[in-house]
Amino acid sequence: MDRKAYRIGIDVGGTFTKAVLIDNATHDVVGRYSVLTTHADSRGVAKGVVDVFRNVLERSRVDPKDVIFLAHSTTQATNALLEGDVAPVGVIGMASRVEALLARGQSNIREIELAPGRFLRPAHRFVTTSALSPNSALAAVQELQAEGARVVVATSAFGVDDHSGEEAVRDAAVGAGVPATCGHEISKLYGLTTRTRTAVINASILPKMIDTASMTEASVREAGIQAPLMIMRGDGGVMDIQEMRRRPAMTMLSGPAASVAGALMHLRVSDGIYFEVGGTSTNIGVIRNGRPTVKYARVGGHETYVSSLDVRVIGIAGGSMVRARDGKLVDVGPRSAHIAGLPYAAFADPAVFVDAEVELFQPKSDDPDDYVSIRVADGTRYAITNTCAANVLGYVKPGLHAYGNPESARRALAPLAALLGCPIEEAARQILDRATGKAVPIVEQLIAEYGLDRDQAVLVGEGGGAGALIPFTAERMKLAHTISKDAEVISSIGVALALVRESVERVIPNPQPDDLKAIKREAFDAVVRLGAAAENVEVTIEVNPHTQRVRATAMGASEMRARTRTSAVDEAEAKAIGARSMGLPVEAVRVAAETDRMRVIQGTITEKYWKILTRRRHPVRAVDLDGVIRVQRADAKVSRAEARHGLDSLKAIWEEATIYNGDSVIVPDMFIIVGAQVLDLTGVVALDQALAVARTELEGLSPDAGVVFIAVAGTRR
Amino acid sequence: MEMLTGIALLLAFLAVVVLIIRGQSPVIMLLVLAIAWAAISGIGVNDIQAKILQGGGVQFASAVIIIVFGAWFAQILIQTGIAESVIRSAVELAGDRPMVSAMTVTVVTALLFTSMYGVGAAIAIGVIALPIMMSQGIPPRLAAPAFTMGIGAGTMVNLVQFGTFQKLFPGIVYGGPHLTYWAVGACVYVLCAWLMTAIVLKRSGVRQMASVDAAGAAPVRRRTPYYTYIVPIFPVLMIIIAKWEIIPTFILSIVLALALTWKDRTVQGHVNLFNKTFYDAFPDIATIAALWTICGMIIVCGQMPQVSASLKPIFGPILPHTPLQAAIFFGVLGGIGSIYRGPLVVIGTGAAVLALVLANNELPVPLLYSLWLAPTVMQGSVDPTNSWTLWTIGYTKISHGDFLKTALPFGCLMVALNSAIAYLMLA
Repeated sequence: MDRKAYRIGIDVGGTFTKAVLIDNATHDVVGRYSVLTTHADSRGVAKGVVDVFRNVLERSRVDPKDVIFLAHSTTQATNALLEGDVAPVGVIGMASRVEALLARGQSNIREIELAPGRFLRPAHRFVTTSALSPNSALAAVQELQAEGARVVVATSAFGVDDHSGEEAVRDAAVGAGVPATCGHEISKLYGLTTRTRTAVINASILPKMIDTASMTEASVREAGIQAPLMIMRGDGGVMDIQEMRRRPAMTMLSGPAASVAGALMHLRVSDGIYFEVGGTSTNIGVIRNGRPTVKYARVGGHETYVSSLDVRVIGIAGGSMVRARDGKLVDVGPRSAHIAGLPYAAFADPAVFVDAEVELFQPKSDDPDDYVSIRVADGTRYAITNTCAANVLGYVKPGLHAYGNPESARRALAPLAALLGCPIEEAARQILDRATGKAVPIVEQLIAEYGLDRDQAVLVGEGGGAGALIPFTAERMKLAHTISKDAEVISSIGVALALVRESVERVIPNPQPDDLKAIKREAFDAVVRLGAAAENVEVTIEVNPHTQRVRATAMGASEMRARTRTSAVDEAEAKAIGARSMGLPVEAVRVAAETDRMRVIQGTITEKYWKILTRRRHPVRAVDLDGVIRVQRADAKVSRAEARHGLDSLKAIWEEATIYNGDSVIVPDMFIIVGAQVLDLTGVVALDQALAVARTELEGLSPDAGVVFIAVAGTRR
Repeated sequence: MEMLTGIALLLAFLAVVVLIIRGQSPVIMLLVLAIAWAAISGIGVNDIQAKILQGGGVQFASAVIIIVFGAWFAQILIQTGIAESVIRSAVELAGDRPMVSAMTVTVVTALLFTSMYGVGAAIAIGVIALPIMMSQGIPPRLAAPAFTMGIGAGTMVNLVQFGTFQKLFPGIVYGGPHLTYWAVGACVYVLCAWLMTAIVLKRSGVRQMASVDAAGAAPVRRRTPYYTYIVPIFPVLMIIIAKWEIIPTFILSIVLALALTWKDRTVQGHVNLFNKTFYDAFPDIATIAALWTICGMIIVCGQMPQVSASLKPIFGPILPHTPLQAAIFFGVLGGIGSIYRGPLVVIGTGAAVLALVLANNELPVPLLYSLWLAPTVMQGSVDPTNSWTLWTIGYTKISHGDFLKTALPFGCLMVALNSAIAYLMLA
């Protein structure tokens, strides 16, 4: 019996909380609803979350029991930290006597500035490992409690290698009724001080996040939904409530993560710069090779080891207001119309603009007093925003959320233009110039930092304010842009479609096949526990070039997978995608090799150097069934083998592409494609290691399954 | 006639220098150079095969053996986990200020490489030190030279470095004022690396690096006890205090390393490790060994009367004749002349230059070695074609250009400073 199944995604933004209801089989959006985010409610944002999903269910008349997946993103962690709304923390540091010389001072985090003037000052105790016992741990916890700590951090030198000390302290704390966090749980990297600091940040928001999680979960149950409530992580994965109770810091920047997820899965962006343009702020980030870019979050100017997407936030958005003084445009933003409590001029009726006059004002107490508002005959004031300017100039197409009434916008801008002494269009242009001037350097920086090709750097607009800023920015930077019709709910869609994902990482300088098998199994089990349907779980292994770690990432959609993705890309489309990326005509490229879920497109480019000599190179693009380019190189050799000959072929290709030159051996960059998975071996130095990783991957494949190798010979440059 | 021969020899030399800089295999090119020089100078085939190829190859064979023992010791340090433990401890307790971390890595690496040698050793330390530096936000183009300069600094006092060059520079001893200078020079290099770190970080700030962490269970390899941390510098201490020779020192150090970690394995395990590490040392240094053998041929060839007579008038004016000239020559040209295996790299075309200078017999050999040491060490840490530098560049995924832009100025600074100091201390 074919029961309908639905997914609900809720994006909690700074201004709006938006929900979408998605048909699990077709991924069509069948319902949407939004409310203003309820920061001020006694139950906090949980109230908005509950309201919005109740409404979206009622309006589409869907039975709560048919909802199989429910997730929301959250700004709570980031806001709590930014506003200093945190619990007092106590740190218990541990080390051997020798290490204590350094470790004692390093585990004593003096203060962390979360926001200007707002500090976190943890209490501190230190115990040497020889003196550590259940009693001494409990005594330390109680001393910290006496100093006001409401949550405990257990951190030990080399805690990454040996958990026992931290676990012992945690047990003592929990026994005394105090929540606790361990350093090794938060991060597996060396560096006692940074681990401790991250744990402190995590611990400080723990009590509040636990409360919110419980409240939301209770409401969800009340509404009759049996699916577990998932929360979006800052690195794009999801976690369940238990996990969030343990590591709430992972939800930092989960809002932007939602927008990326939406861009990836709904819009199928493989290379581009996405802009989530809200009312007050805009998040800008990069998608490369179909993946978002990840970094460590910085809080209060300090590095933490909490990974989140590399998202830049700027205080310019659809609702940013204009500042003017003495006949000149001073600036645009950061204050927005919504925060100032004024309606947008562009969404008003043109008829109200009678006797419109510019009136400068100070929206909030610390703001400058030259923000522009337009007062009309009946005394109402309207704000001139980026959206208004964009409407005047016709950049916003009808159907977009930011589309207002161009006539209203013109009438509102008229007095401002008079003040500035220029025509209305010129005034609008000045406003947008100034506004986008804040985004342009960020985009340039991202292009440079991530080595994006300008031809491929598409600006992807999301969020309600996209129409206001994206077209202008794209024109200014001579880049392409797209704004989807679902722009303002992309984030919610991202959350709804969020696959369940979990990574396991180990430092293994010389991985053996057993190590790899074990780590794959671990990742697989972890993700199934999180709710993924086992038959659809894919586990990828990466030997991370920067850290010599082996990382197994398991990904799967949460249960009930009816069909494969909506429409697989066919050969002609794949060739077109590859050709376009390489800058060649479609006839000049061919499918060099393929597996059942991936095609490798290759072309030939002849270039001249030194004016008379020519050389040929063979760029490749590996295109998967979603049309996403997963591997791209300017020059490579492609070959295919059956799984049973896989290792021999790998050895042969590797050796052929290695350069022995004097006292250096230059190994090739190698990719192995198995099914839809790409094994990235670019960090592997020794053939043995490469064979070990490949062996694990090829295990379990039928002997005649196709495996594709892409080898890029090492070069001096 | 001699002039013509001399010019032909010079052209052959320059051609090989250019070809090597452009990336041709040094082993092949140097072999060609040795034969070409001999042929151009009129040396007969029989002399070529007997005296130059065989004689030259054999004469410096002892250098190759020293390298093997050095790499063997390095493998022991790696496979017992001692080297890894040292660097892990350093990084765990270095605090979280990127500048302090980078500086700590440089100095600890220097200490480790006073006795470690070989690309395997560099990789074993690099895979731990480099990721930590980068995850703290140190830009890769700084992490790479901070690491390789640490290796370079250690190399100034390194036993394998000394042992191999001992044959090329007859009469040098591991002691006396010269050793003092080498130690000072190592410190100067560390300071130059620290200066580089400070300047680059102040100018560019820290950068985020991508990584995903996970909460899992099982721990990583256990660290060795703190008293094992003496082993990496034990060989140097042994030679200075007890004045033993190099090979026995390494053997004793190997036994010491095994003894101090006796708990980690059975008796058979010890025997196995002893043998296995010797076996593993060879691939590490295979290509260096080839280079050394060929360089031996060049040196013999360059010192043959027919060759040196023709070359003297041509090279005479360029080569230094007095200590002061030598100090200036190496101080100014040592840096640039060593990049991309340039003409001042002894294990390369510099062998020819060395042959000529030795044939001139005007400079005291220990002083010559000390002056040539800084450029040699710089080549070993800043030349992108050097094996471990190449690996580091590949691992941190930076371009040659970025690496050189960051490292070269400070490498040349080190060479200039050390040349001055050498002259003042030793001349």
